[in-house]
Amino acid sequence: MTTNAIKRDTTKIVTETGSFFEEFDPRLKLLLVVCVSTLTFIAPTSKALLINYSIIVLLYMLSGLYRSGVKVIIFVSVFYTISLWEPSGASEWIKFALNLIGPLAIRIMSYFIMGTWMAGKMRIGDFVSSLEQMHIPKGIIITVAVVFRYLPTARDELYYISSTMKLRGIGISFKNIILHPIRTLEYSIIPLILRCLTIADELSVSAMTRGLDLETKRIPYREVKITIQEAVITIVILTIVVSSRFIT
Amino acid sequence: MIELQNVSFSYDSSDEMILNNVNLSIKEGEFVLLVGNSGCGKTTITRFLNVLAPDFFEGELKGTVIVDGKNTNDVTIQEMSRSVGSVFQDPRSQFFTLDTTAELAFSCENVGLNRQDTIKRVVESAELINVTHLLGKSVFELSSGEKQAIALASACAHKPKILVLDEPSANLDQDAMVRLKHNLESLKTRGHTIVVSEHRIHYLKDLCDKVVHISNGVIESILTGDEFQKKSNEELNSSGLRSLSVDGLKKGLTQKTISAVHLEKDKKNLLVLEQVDFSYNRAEPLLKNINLSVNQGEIIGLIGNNGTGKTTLMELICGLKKQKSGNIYIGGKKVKAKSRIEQTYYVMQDSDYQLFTESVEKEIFLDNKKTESSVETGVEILKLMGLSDFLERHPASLSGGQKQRLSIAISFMKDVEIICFDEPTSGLDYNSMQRIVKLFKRLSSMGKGIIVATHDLEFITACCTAVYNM
Repeated sequence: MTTNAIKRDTTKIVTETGSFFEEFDPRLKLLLVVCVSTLTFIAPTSKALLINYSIIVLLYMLSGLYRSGVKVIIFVSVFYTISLWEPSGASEWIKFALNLIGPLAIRIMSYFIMGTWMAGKMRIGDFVSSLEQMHIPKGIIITVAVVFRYLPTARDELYYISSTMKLRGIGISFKNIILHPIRTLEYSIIPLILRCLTIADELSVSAMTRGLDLETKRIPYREVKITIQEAVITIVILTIVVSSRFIT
Repeated sequence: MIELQNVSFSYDSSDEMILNNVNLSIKEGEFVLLVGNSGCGKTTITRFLNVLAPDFFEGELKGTVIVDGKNTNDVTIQEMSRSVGSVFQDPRSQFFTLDTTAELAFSCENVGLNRQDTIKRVVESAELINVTHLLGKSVFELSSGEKQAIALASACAHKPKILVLDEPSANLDQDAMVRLKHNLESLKTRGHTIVVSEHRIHYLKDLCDKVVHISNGVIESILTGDEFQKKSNEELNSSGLRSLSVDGLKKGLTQKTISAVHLEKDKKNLLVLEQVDFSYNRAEPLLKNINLSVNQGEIIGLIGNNGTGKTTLMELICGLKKQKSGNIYIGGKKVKAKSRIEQTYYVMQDSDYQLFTESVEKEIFLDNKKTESSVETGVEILKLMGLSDFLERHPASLSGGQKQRLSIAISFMKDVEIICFDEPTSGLDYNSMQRIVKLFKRLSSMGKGIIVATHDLEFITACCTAVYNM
């Protein structure tokens, strides 16, 4: 291959675009997250709840997040079954509690599930540029971007901390939680906070020395715009979710 | 290109002057290496160039710093970023975005290049640093070496005249270090002025035009590249610097391949691993048929590139992970993961996760009964690690190297026979490394078995009794 051909190839990789939902405008995604999860949270009937969750699973599948989609199905089935379960001989209280816990868990989790969907296939850069187009203050945008950047690493961080706690004999065990509840909490939270501080510092240093500031306008290398298709899909989904409230 | 005139500096957080009346001038296209002990002020000099000091790390600056014709008092960090690209020690926390292409484009976007130019620069930079095969990937899939290469490609994408690197090799394995050297060479050829602050200096020896040795805040000497290359290891070590030529291991220390170890099981063995397998998923196992025996007083070095399973092997030994098959014996008895946690100790690479209390003293005695003898050992070990002056300090306020030494000191207080260390010397200067060598020898003379994963050949040569290649 000649150098020019290689160059064209690299340029192709750089300008490559992802699947439809990867490219789906982050503003519309955010709108979907807020509306769908809120409407799921306040769904008036079980039917509406299940319809909303079907939409959520559909969004997962369309975005190519098959595994997570299946996990959502399992989660909802388990908790929905719990809410229907009426163990014979159990007191009214237990039945009442089961009836309460199932739907409540499903409703609250809708925020996390939709949030994960959005974070699953999103480019931070697009998110930042689209928020900029909405004239949201840059300070807020950067904070949100840093949170999205930090979240995927949080699980690893917790793993390291709990490992050292085990080795030092102050692990998060039943015994330690009962005997030394405050100490155990303190020891698990302090390193996490210190780590957050270090990461926040290092991230800001790295971003500032590469010219990210609050005044100048960034010119994103990828174009972010809402296409007609995206708008139509969003409207259809929102219509379904809203009208599900009125199905009896 | 860079001019420091009578520069003195003190950080707001401390009363001491970190730099005292420093004069330094760097010409366009020069490759300058800053060397010296931890805390000598070389990192501070790199921070002048990108204006992080005094704008981000606040302090009082006396004298004049002129970078690319601009007085650093008059410009912000962001404005200076047009002239200066920066790369830092920890490759994990340098990414602002989540995919590599966006990362490379980041500085160009901020500088305000138009879309076509940004794409052109990204392509150019990716090709120069040889990272085209990494484009479009998630930054979490990359190895440390790949992350550092992306960080470098990102820092030079908008073609700043000057590049500043602060200990870029601290987390890199041998292969990645060689690649880093090649990349720095290409950047030098492209005409960038490059300033590197570094402890491990051997990989840079034939690139330097100028070597600045800083000691206690003053410039001790400025050598040309040729003069520097002629220095012997002894000369450098005596002034607290790492060795210049690290050509493999010393005589008598042979390197064995771990998969080919023939197990000699003996009741006297402190630790025995017998046909241990481990895999993270159903795919290819990471560790296969590992046989290893550790005797009392042995210091076993594990070497090999990142991703070969050194850390995982140590996590298995310490019971943080369960082996898929095979057995692990301690003192002749087969032990399960749960009891291995109690019978071993493991010092992770990152000390941030390992410090829990509000003072150095409390940290050392955490969960150890305070008896007369334990207090004595504690005090002695802090002295050996050079931490006696910081008893009351909060661990978070210590420097990176000090935190690292503290977490290593804690292992000494643990009443266990087997201790694993992950990269205990990354980013440490010669004297701190020697302190750790001394501690290891003490532990070994007490009959403990030590396993240490490291890329640091100089350190291995100084203390290991056997070396295994993963």
